[in-house]
Amino acid sequence: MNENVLIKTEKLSKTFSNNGRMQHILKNIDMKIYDGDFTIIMGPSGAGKSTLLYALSGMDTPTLGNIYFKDKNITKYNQDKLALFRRKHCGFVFQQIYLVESMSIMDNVLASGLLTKKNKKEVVEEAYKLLEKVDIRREYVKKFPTQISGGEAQRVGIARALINKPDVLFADEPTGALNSKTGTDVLNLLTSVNEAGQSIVMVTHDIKSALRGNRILYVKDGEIAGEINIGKYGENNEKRHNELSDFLVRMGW
Amino acid sequence: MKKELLLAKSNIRKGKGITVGLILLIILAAAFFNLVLVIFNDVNKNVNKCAERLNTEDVNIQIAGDISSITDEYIESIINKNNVKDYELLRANIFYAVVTKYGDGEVTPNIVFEKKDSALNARIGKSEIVEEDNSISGIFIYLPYQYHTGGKFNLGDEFKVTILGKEYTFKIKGFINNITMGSYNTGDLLMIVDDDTYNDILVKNNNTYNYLRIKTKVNENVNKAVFGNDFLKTITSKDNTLSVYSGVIDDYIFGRTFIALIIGVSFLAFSLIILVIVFLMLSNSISNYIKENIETIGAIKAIGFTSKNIKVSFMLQFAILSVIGTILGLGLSYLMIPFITGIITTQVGIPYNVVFNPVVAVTTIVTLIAIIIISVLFFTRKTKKIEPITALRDGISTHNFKKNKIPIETSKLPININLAIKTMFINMKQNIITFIVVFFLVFNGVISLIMMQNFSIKPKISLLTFELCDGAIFTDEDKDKEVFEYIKSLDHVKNVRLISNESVEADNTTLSAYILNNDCSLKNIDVCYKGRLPQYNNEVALSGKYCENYNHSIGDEIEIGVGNQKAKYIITGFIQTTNNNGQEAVIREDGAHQIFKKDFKKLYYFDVDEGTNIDDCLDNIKNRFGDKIGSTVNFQKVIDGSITIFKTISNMMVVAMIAIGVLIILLVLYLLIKTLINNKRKEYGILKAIGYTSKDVILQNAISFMPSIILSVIISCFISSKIANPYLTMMMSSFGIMKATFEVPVTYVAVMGVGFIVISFLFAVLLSRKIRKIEAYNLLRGE
Repeated sequence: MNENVLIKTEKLSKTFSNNGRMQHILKNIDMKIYDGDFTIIMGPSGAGKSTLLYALSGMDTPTLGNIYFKDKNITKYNQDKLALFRRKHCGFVFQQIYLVESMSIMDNVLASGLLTKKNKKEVVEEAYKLLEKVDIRREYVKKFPTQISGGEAQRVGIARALINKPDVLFADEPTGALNSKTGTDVLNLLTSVNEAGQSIVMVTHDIKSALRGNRILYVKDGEIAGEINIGKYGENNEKRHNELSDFLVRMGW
Repeated sequence: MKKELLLAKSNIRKGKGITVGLILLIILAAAFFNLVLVIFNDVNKNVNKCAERLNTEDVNIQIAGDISSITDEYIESIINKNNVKDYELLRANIFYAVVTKYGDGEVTPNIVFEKKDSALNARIGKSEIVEEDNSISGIFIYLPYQYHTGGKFNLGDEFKVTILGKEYTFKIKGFINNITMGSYNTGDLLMIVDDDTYNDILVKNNNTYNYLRIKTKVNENVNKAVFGNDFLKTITSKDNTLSVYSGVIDDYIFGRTFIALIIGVSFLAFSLIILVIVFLMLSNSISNYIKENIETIGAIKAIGFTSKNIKVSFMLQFAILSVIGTILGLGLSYLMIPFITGIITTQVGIPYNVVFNPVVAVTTIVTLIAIIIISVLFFTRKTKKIEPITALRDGISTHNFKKNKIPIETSKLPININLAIKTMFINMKQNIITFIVVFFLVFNGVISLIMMQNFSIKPKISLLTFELCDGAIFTDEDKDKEVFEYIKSLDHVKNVRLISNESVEADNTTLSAYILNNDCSLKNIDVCYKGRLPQYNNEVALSGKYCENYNHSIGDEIEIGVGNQKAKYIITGFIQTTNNNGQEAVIREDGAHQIFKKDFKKLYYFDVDEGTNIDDCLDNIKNRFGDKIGSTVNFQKVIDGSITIFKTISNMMVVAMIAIGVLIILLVLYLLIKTLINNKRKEYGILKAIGYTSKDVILQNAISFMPSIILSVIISCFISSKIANPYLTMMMSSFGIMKATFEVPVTYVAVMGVGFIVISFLFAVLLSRKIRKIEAYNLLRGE
C-alpha cells in the first residue's frame, strides 16, 4: 500500500430526509484513500457504499464533515466547482454505463477529453489509444452506444473515464449490468490500468470483483465496519481469496 | 368516460409547466381571434346602425356653384319616382379647402355650415349630438366627432377658421355625428354654427347659397352608383358650369372604416400565426408526451385501456385547456377591445360602445376548440400503433441515431458549441418549429416597422395624396390668372401648377378628375405607377383599381363625359391614390375643355427653394389678394394633421406586434426548452458527472436554439423586406394602392432582428437555468 494519501475524510456524514424522517446513510466516517491503490468498498445493500463513493468523488456533498483531496477541502465547493474538480481529478465508471446515446463512441470519449485539454490532436490520438486498449475496434468508434454490446459500452465508459488521466477512477459496480464473460473483461481492464499506476475506488458486492482490489473497506450501517489489505491481484490469489472470505465472514457478509 | 377523465387530469397535473404555457398560447390565439371577429363584425355594424339611426341617404348628389337655376321644382320634376323612395334638399354654403387645426397639424376639408335645428331635425341624413356643453353660448360651433377623437379637440376649446377672408373664433359647444359629412376621409364636413354666425356668413356670401345637396333614399333594387351618375348627367346637361358629385353610402362607410379593416386584417394575420403556433406546439407536446410516457402508455394499455381510451383522455386533457384558454382569451380580448376600438374610432369618428357579442364569443370558442381537438386527433393517431409489451420494454426508439452530425473528432468548433450544434440536430423538429414561429413573428415585425417608417417617421405622403407640394392656394375664379402670374413671379417659388378637381363620368360611374394645366409637372412621381400621365388633350390616366374593375388597359380608348358632353380619350397610365375609393382620373386642362364649358375651381400648387419660409410666402399672397384668396395651405402642416391617425396606429402596431412577438417567442421557447430539458435530463446528468459545469450545459442548451433563430431572423428579415411591398399592395389594393413603394427601414429592421436574436438568447439562457437543478448524483441515485 502506497502511503501517499489521495483522499481523506473527517467525520463524513450524509443524511437524507425521507418523508420528513431523517435517514443517516453515512455516520462520522474517518477514512483515507491511498494513491495507486485499488480500493474496494463492499457492504450489504443499503449500507451506504455508493453514497460514500459519490461523496468521495465530489459527485455528492456530505451533510457534515470534511473531504480532503490532496489536502484540499472540497466539502465547501459549489456544484460548478465540484464539476471542475471532477473533470480534472476524477474518472467515473457507472453500473448503468451512462454513455450519451446521441453521441458516437468517439464523441463520448472526446466530449470528456476535450474538457481539460486544448490540443485536440493529442486528445484524439489519446482517445484512439485508449479505445484500442479497451479493445474497441477502430471501425466501432463511429457507432452509437445503442449499436454495441453492454460489455463494449462499458469498456468505452472506461476509456472515457481514463481520457483525462484522472488521479482516481471511481467505479460503481461496473460489472453489475454485464454478463460473466464481459464482466471479467472489464475487471481485467481495470486491473491492468491499476497495475499501470491508476488509483481506483470501486464499489461492489461481488467477491470476484472485490478480489481485484488490494484494500477492501467494509461499510455497514453507514460506518466503516472494517478493512483488510490483501495485496495486489495476481500475487497468490488463492490466499487473497481466503483472506477476503474470512474477512467478509467476520463482517457478517 | 370517468377513467379517461382521470387519465386526462393526471396528465395535466404531471405537466403543469407545459399546461400553463399552452394555455397562455391559447389565450393569445383566442384573444386575437375574437378581436378580429369583433372588428370585422361590430365596427361596420356599428357604423351601419348609426347610418340607420340617422336615416342616412343612400345616394347624395352635390351641386356647387351658381345653383339659382336648380330650383326645388326642377329637382322634383327630374327625380325618377320609380327609383326614389324619398329625398330631401339641403341648401347651404360650402367653403373649399378651409384650413383647420387637426391633431399635430392641419387639414383642409370642404366645410358646409348648417344651423343646429335643421341639422338635427333633417328627415334624411340628419346629424346627432355625441357630446355637448350647454353652458357654452355666444359664437359656438359643433364639430364632427372625428375632431375630438382624431383632432384632439375638447369641449370648450377654441376653434378658428377663416371664411371669406374673415377669421371666426368659435367655442366648441359640442361634437356631432353625420355619416356622409362627418369625416375628412369622405370629403365634405358638416359643422353646426350659432344662428348669428350662420347669418353673417350668408350675408358675406351675398345672401346666396352655393351648395345643394340632394339626399336620396332609393328603392332596394336600384344600383346606387348608376342612379347617382344618371342624376348628375341630367343636372350637367342642363348646366355644364356647375360642379357636381354623387356619392353612395357604401363608399362613405368604406371610407370611414378602411383603417379598421387594415387593423382587422393585420390582427387576422397575427391570430392565424398564433393558431399555427398553437397547432405546432400541440403536436410537439403530444409527441413529446408519448415519447416521455411510452412505458406508462404501455402499462395502461396492458391493464385494459384501449387506444380509443387514450385518445379520448388526450382530447379531454386538451379540451380542458382549450376551454380555460379560450374563456380567458375572451376576457383578455374584451380588455383589449376598448384600446383597439379607441384607435379605430379616431378614424371612423363614430362612437363605439363595447358590448359583449355572444355570437362572436361562441364562434371563437367553438372554432378554437374544434381546431385543437382536430389537431389532437391527428397527432394522437400514433398511440394506436403502440403495443403494450414493446412500450413496457421501452423498446420504441424515440430517436434513431444513424448519422453522427458534426463529429467532434473532425469539427473545428469549441467543444461546448459542438455539443450545442449536436443538440440542435437531435432536436431538429423543435428547431423547425422555432424557425417557423420566429419567421412569422419577424415578418409581422418588419411589416409593422415599414408601416411606422412610412406613416410616422418619414410619411410616404405620395401614396396618400394626389400631389405633393410645399404650398397651395385656393383662389376666386375672377383673379386666377393674376394670382397664377403673381405666384410665379415670387422669388424662391418654383413649379407653380394648377390642379382642379371636377366630377366626370365613365362607364356609368362617377370619377373624380384631376385637371392639370397643360405644362403641369407633378412632383408626386409615385402617383402614376404604370404608363404615364396624359401629355395631349386626348389622353387620360385612370385609377388602376378602377381599370381593374372595368377591365381597361393602357392604350384602350374610353369615353368620358359630363352631362351630354362626351369625348374619347386614350388611357396612357394607371394612377393610385387613397382618395375617392380609387375612382379617379387625370386629364389635361385642354383635354377637359372638350367636355367642360366652364372655368374650374382653381387650386395652385407650388414648391419653394430650400430654406424658404412657406408661411411667409402664403402671407405675401394673401396680403396681395385679400379675400380673393379662398384659402392658403401649408402642405407640411396638412400632412402633419392628416397623418395623425396613421402615426398613432402605426406606432401602436409596432409596439403591439413586437411586444406580442417577444411574448410568443418566450412562450414557445419556454415550452420547447422545458421539453428539451425533460428529454435530455439523463444526458445532462451524464455530462455533469464527467465534469461539465451547469454553465456549460445551460449554454449548450441555449445555443442549440440559436442557429434556427438566427437563420430564421435573417431569412425572414430579407424575405419580408422583399415581399413587403407586394404584400402591402395586396392588403391596400381595395382602397386604391395598386403598387406600394414603401421604404424599408433597413436600420430598424436590423435592430429588430438583432433584438429578437439577443432577447431569444437571453430567454433561452434564462429558461435553461433549470438545468442547474439537474444534479449528476440525483440521476445516479434515481436509477
